[in-house]
Amino acid sequence: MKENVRNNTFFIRLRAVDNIGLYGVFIAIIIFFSFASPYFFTLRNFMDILRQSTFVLVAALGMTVVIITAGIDLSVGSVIGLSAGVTSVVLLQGAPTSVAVIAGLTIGIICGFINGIIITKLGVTDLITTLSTLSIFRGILFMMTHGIPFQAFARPDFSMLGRGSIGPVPFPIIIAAGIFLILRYILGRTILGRHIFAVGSNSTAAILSGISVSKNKIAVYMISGFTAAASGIMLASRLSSVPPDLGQGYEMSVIAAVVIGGTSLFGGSGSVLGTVIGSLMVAIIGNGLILLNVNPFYQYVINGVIIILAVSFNNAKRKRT
Amino acid sequence: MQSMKSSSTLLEIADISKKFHAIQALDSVSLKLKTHTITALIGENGAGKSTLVKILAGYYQPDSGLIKLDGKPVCLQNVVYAQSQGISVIHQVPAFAPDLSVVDNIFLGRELSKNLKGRALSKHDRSAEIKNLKPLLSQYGANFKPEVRMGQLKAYQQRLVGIIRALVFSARILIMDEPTAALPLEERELLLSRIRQLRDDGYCILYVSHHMDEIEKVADEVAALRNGKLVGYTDTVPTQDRMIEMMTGDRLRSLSEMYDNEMHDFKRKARTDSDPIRTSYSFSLTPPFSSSSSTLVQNPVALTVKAGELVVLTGIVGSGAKDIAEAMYGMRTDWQVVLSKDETSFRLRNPKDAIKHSIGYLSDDRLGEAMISDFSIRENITISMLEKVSRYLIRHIVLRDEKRTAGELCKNLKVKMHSIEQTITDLSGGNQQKVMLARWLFAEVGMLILNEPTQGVDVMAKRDVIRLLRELTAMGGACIIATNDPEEFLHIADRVLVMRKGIIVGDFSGSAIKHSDVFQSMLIHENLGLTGRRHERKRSE
Repeated sequence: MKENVRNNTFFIRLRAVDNIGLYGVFIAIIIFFSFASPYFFTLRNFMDILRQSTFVLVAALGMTVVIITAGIDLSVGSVIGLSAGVTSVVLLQGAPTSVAVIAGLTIGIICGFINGIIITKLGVTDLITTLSTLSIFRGILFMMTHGIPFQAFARPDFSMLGRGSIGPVPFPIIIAAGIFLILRYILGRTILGRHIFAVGSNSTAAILSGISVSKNKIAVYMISGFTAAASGIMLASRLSSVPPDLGQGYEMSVIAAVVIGGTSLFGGSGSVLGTVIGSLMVAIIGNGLILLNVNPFYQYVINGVIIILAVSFNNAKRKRT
Repeated sequence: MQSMKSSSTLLEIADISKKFHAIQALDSVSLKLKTHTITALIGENGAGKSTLVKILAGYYQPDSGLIKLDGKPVCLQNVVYAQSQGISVIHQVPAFAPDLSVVDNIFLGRELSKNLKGRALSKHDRSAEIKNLKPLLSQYGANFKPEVRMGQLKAYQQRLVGIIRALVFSARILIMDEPTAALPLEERELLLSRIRQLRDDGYCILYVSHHMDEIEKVADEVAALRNGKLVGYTDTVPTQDRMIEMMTGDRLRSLSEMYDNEMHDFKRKARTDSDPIRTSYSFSLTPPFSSSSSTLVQNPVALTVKAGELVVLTGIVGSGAKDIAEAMYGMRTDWQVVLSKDETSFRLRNPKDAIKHSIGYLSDDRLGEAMISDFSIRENITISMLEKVSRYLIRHIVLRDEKRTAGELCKNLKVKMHSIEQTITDLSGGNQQKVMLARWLFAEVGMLILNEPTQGVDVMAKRDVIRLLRELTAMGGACIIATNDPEEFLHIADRVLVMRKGIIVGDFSGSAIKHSDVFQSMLIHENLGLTGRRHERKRSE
């Protein structure tokens, strides 16, 4: 009898580790490539993988929060471009780097606020809203640049953001880690985070528990705007150039990373840790296939297959409970 | 109870067992279902009723045991096969497309066609469908045309369509799962008489229900399940108390005893302990001024609930009792709701305002409106008042405090669980309801509005819920229960308000609360008060 009880609590704990399958697959992939290629399991290669995946990862962290509320933000690619554009314009005016970065981040937050207001106050669905603002924000960047990339704005301290490193660790990774820790804390240990999950799981029950759904929805789109802007600013720094199509198509990779990471598009469950694994998984598979001399065009097909597998796995889990 | 016209065994279940993980849902259950017979299946939630129903429906396969149909063993491997063998389950609330006609709903997915070749493209033969349907409709008193839209029918007529759908496809064994759930009293009687007619026509009926009074009225035989075992099987209908004893074992002797002893204690306590100067919650509720509004309530309603008082607000479905309960909590954003409390008035624009003024609400739709299914028990308890366990400007949740308070509440309410970290969906209906109540105990609200608080809750948990409400009011809380079926609350109510057509027509308190008076007031359509007549005229204009 006693053993039975202990067994039960063990299974409860095991179930609490939601993404156990995801971690397993992730480790299996690493082991596979380590044996398949001698160049794979090296510190330098890992740093490369991390650096490549950070720009998607940072935006995906904010996207995770949106998707937990059962929303979606298709405008992240355009917010990446627009905030990078604004940052470079401010830099070109001769303002200090800090001012330029704050301006870029503010633009991102404003973009998210606009998305949130349209969705909650005008009652336009999230898909249509962010599809429209994807076009609007991109259009504004085109008008700002007149179609010509912004260049020659990079100063040494600004270049640091995308290119510098502390010891062996590239600076963007430190920024990503910081944003990850903050969001993990917000989701796990604050009222805001708890309310975000409640809204995504059952919005009627949330309203009846005295939670303002619109306030929380606006908040998550602002978070997504902020992380997209952070990603855009780092990209601008890394490339020392802001072409008008910067960030175009990023929404696909960003959403893919979140979904592979086990966050449900139905809302109510998910984690930023899953998103980290999800975006690393995509990067590792891309990197490994290149090392194995696989035709890079296959990558698109493989990415699509991974998304389908991840979501169907998630669905199976949902049905079981 | 009736002498059967040549009743014979149609379906025999022998030693059926079914295990889910570690839980033995059914433990060698044997049962015979006969023609011309209504067999009632009773048991608390989790006793194995729905598992048995699902096995007969072909949804689950038993681990061991045998099912015999017409004396021959059958394997009900899936739902379609079970239906082809004449076994049909009529669900609690049948799924219909409200915009399609009755005939289209009945033949949905099984349309008759003019030429049988190439089924998908063959011409739909509606007239043949109607021809098949008409005799059945008139036989079972369905006095509506098959072309009428499903959504225009009354609730009980829709249930009838659900039964007729089974008959059209030559069902012989009808399994009815709470067929009268959420039906108003009068319609309930109509449906029950149709079910008796089906029995007399020779059908074999398995009647699953929590309503002992209904079982008394319709059943011929009673089978009781407890913890997956068949614990009682009688070929007559025992008394209600005896049936409850069968379901619950020796834990609870009888319903009346429970009310007589415990409830009187609580009641007396409430009377003596109550403070002479009590807070009262006065509501003035004004429905939107438009004919297109979704409520029957047309005129403003005012009502007051005092601290320490348990008020039952009742009326048949559509009387407006539910609308009033929702409006009081600020859920109806198009209503104007003013709360007067402690000589101050506030407007309640949304549930958040209501909570701010110490009012909680328990929805009748637990899954849809109350439970947060992805959350643990702990998270479900604390969600409406997280401020209580949070600190600092960033509203950091102190997990230690949260766990401790939620754990204590669960212990006090005797929630059956392994740990407060389990997801809420692991619990049975009754325990989920306790957690929903714990949510408002955690929030320490002064007044609780409850909408059908014992719906879908088994007998034992029902008792706990009712006792808890009584305890709450004894401690000075105010409670208002909105329900269509006031029976089980009359014993504990301090006041009963009866609504009809959006108006409060009856107000009984204390010893004036009499069963017959309350039901009469709910049902009688004549002798409307002055306000009622004015209201009627206004509507006809």
